[in-house]
Amino acid sequence: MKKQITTWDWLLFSLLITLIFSIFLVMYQIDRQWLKLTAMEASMSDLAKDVRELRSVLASGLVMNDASLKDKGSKEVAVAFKRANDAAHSPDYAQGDWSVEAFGTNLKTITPLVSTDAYASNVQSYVVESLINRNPDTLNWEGLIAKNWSISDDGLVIRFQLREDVNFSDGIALTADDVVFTFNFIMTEAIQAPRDRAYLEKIKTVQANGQFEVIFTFKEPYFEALSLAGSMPILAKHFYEPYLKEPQKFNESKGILFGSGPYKLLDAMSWSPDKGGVELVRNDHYWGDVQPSYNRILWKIIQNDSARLTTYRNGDIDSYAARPVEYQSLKNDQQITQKSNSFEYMPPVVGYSYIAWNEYRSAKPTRFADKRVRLAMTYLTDVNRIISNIFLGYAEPALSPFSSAGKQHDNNLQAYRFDVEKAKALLKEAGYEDRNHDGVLEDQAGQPFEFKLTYLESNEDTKRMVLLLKDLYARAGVKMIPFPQEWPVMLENLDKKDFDAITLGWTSGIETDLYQIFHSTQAASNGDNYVSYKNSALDKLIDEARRTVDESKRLPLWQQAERIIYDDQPYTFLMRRKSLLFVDQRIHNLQMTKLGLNIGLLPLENYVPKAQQKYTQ
Amino acid sequence: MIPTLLGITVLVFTVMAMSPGGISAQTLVGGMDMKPQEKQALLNYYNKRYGLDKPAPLQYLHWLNNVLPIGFVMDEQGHQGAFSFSKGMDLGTSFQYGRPVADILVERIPITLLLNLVTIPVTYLIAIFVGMKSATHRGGRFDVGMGMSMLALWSIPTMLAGVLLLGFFANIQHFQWFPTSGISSREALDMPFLPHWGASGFVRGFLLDRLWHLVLPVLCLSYGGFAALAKLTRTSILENLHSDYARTARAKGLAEHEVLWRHVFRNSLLPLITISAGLLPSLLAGSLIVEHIFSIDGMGQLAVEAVKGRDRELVLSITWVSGFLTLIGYLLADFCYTLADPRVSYD
Amino acid sequence: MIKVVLSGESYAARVWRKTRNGVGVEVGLAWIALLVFAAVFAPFLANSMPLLMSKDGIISAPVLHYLSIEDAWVLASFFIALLLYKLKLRAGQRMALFLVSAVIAAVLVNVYVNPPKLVIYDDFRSPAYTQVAWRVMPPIPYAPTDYLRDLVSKGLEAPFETTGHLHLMGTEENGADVLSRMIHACRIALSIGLIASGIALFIGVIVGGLMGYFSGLTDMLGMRLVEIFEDIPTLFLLLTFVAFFGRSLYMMMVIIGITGWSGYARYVRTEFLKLRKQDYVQAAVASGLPLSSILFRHMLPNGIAPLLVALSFGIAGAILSEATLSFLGLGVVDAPSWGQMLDQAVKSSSFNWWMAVFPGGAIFMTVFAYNLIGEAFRDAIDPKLTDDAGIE
Repeated sequence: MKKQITTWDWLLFSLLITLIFSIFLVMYQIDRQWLKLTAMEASMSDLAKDVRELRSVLASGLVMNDASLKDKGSKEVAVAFKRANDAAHSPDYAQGDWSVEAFGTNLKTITPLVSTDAYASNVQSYVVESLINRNPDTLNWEGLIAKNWSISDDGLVIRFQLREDVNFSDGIALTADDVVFTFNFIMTEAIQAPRDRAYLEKIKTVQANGQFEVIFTFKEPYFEALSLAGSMPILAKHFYEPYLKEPQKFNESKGILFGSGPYKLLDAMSWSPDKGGVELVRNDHYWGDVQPSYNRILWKIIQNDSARLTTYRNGDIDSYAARPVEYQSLKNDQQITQKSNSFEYMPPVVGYSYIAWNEYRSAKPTRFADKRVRLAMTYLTDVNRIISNIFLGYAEPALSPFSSAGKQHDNNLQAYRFDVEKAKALLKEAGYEDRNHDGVLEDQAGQPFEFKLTYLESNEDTKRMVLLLKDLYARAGVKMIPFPQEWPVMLENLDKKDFDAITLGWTSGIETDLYQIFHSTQAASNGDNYVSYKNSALDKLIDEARRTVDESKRLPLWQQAERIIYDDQPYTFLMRRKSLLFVDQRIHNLQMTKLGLNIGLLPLENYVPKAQQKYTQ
Repeated sequence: MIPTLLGITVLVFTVMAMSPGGISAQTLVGGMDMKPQEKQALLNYYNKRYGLDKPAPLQYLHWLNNVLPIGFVMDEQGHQGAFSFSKGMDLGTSFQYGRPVADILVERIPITLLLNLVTIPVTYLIAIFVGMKSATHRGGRFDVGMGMSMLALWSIPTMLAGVLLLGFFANIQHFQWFPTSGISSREALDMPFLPHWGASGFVRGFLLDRLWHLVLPVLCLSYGGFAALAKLTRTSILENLHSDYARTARAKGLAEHEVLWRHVFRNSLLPLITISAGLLPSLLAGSLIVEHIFSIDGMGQLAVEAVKGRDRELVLSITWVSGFLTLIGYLLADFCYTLADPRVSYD
Repeated sequence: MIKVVLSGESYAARVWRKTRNGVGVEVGLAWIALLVFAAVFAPFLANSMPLLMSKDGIISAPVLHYLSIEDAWVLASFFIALLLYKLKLRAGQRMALFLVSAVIAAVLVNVYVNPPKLVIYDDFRSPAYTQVAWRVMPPIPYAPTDYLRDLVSKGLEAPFETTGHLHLMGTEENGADVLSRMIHACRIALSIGLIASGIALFIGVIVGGLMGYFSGLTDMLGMRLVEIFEDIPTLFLLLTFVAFFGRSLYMMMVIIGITGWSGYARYVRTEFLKLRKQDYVQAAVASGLPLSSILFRHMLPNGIAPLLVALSFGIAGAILSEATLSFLGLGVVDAPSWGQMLDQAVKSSSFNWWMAVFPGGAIFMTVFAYNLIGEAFRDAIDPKLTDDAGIE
């Protein structure tokens, strides 16, 4: 008789499987221990190296004024580190603890130049530094790696004198050669840095004059020249040069991040996105006049909004940025208010949101090419109501691309008020009336005034705003059809100029350049003037302003440009939103500056007193 | 099997090619935070790099060539090289993530597999237990009650169950017995593997932490499965309970539970095994929703993101992989069938 | 002597009777009847405008004035269906008559019904409509897309929480009343269920019929096709379709139909393979009847029973698919849908229980009802599993 498989066999079989499985688990556990051991070994060898260096320095009898040693108290502190120094002298200042934040989207890569998103730049700012830094209070430029600098009279040449005590996180000194290398590296075509290349193409050459002086030469005068040259993140020649030979590896890398900043990746070459976040550890060789307080900086990636809030509630992250409705209900939530400080503020470099009216589609002008129609739509857009209903007052109406707190803005301009009658009158002038009494306006040819408003599907508040606008426009007889789209599809349609109207936002800087968005040359394909707005008077003003290096002559030009945009309304400008933040109470020295809240601002000013420190490693 | 796989990919590719937007250069993550002058150079770069201007059928063949282990070797610029039999599979690079698809899949598949592989035994155990009891006590209160409840459970949509479970059992406002999201917490990575009672009190340990996080998602995934399976088990056992061989066994004097477990059970297993072939694909679909609700980074979540981002390489690869897994499921089911039923043999 | 009872029931009547005796079927049928009622009479059940009002001596019905083309057509079809049910005709004739009259109704409605294109709901709460002699409001005085702009609704309020006006099931995130949206969502749910399953059934019957009848090469090719559509994770294909083709209600119906036909094809194929060898089929072939006649007039009516069981589960599945799509955010924007409301329960930081319980409960009840009916139906046609097997 053929042997049958009985129930006993099945039992033995499953027992065997369980046994094999547990062996795997044990192996996995041992593996983890092994990794921990190797990490410990690495940091031990680092320490040993430091001790050796100390010994050799002591032995050779050199005075302790080396580049690798610092004596905090007696040396003079550079201007850029003054604020951090003041914080370090507070009575309850202590070093230690971690800063744990959260990102809302996945990071593709944190390699500098290759990364394209704001989150990666945030991470990189802790590891890689630039020549100059903005003072958060005066908004003036202050030297970080550079000691001082001078600009030639024609604005074409900038000389930087570098500090002589700057070094990278492996101890090797930073010299002018690294700056020159950085520029050449970025401009190498094979390296995937098109955005930075486009940014820096105004620079003709960068030369080193000795070990500690760098000369930037520009092709033509540009008002942002100092910012361009000074904000370039300095990459280490000895670390990044090998990648010139294998650019592909660099372009596809996830995390080759190495620099002179106060923090570093534990392994500069091996970050990968599957870790669920980014972790930076303290750079023990940091050259700065003041050492930062945190031992580690972590970012977790939590995409789901409510998961992020719960993580904040549990104390696993240190801050949470809330939407307006959420913010209000959380302020009444005892569990949150007991452990956090809340901040609401308008960041000076905040962007603005707008509705863009497409003026040219399929080679024909659309109804929005008529200025009166655009102006009427602006009259119909009740921005104040949007701000009070949907954003609960946590926003400011925007009048133009310039921030109302900035110097480019002309404070005499008044916002357009919501006025249905005026809108109707303007539309009637442009030929739109309700000819057949069906409630919708028609033009002279009998075509109803209907259009699709494209918006980004994933944003909650935008959706609510669009639905409110739909009802508002209906009052004047304009039929708006909400048209949500995914980000890549939207980008594609923008490129092909295949849309009626779209609501989006732009970020600004301290000083905004209107060229990319409103200049007529940028209306060609792939430019950012995707509404095809053309005004030659505006073009001339923009060109001249960009060429003028003297700020007192430049600002009036910007203000004239602003007035043209105000009259023409190529966009209906909506609002600038406040940041609404909850921060864990244990973080001290949070202050408002002209650049916004100083949380995470470099050089680091925040700290956690010893008694409240949570993470002990 | 191969034609089916090909067919699936052709279908999905056609859908994407037919769409109004077509296929072309896409996403820039965080593009809304970039200064306007930085965006467009990047777009140009992507367009050139991925060679997205050839007609659709050619692109499909190109992709197929890359994916198969046998084919033409392509160099970086996209020019055709020599024909090789051991090229290796190149699943392409995802537009959205900027990483090779293979890497992403390797990260995500184990999580989804973990979820599903824990669910399947749970489902079967509960289903067999309930089905057995219902069949042996047919018409009784347990049977009728279970019948109704199983049907009700089967009718609850996964998303409703997930939302309710999350809202009531993982929420600070009601009972916070379980964590809200993810597969494990950050502290768990620093914990030892097994739980122990140390100086600082009870330490959960990596293993227990994982299990704790898995309870709600597995519950969500399994209830639909065991409802359907319980009914099937009941029917199957009922059929066999009154068959000739069972009657013979009873006549021989065997105790009832021996008849049940030694004879009837094995014969009733067959339809269960046939069904199990179809279980894996439905679990993959179910995990789409469960992963979305519980913020677990698995294949399901990846699929939703890939489709929403119209990431061509990723979508095709996921289709291919899930079709492949399904077919493997069928093969396994066939294999188990031969094991369970000695009459069936493949020769 | 054993008393012999001869029943004069036809097979269909007997199956129907046994189905209705199944557990819980009455409840299921009642729920579906409720849904149909809500779907058909939605504009009269939940609307912001008065049903009837008398102002300055003139009696008017604003609801009728604002009735949309869709509303009118659904009402017309409903009454036609009711009429046909009363008349004594054969099933096939009823179907044909219904289809024809539905098409005629559609044409007529398109021509004669002309509602205003823009509706401003706030007007109905303005003096023009409130200072009247008398008026009759619908039971739920909110329209599904009335976001209560003039009342500045905060959105996402629990039931009975708002001061001033009653919201029996709370409001959703944009301020609209949840109960009103649920009633109007019935129409979408039911129509998707019916139309999508109808399309799937249609395709499945044709493909399965051809496969079963011809077998051989057709069968092999057909089976490959069926396998392809079975193996693709359906939800994934749906997502791909919707994401790439944009959202529209009709698109979703068609797509859910196209992706769901494989189950029906299998059933039909099995049945036809069995029936092919029957005598009457051979006779029909020998008589030279055309293929369509053989397949659909002779073979199909005999194999239809398992199909109807599958149809019942299929409708439940289609409704579930639509809800899932809306839940994942790919549904239609403004139109009310149960899945979309369910999505709002988890979105914001707090758990909005009324958004989960009510729409979720509606989905659950609907799916449950269809499943119950399908189960009972299956038990009714399968003689082996009945409790009183052998005794009639």
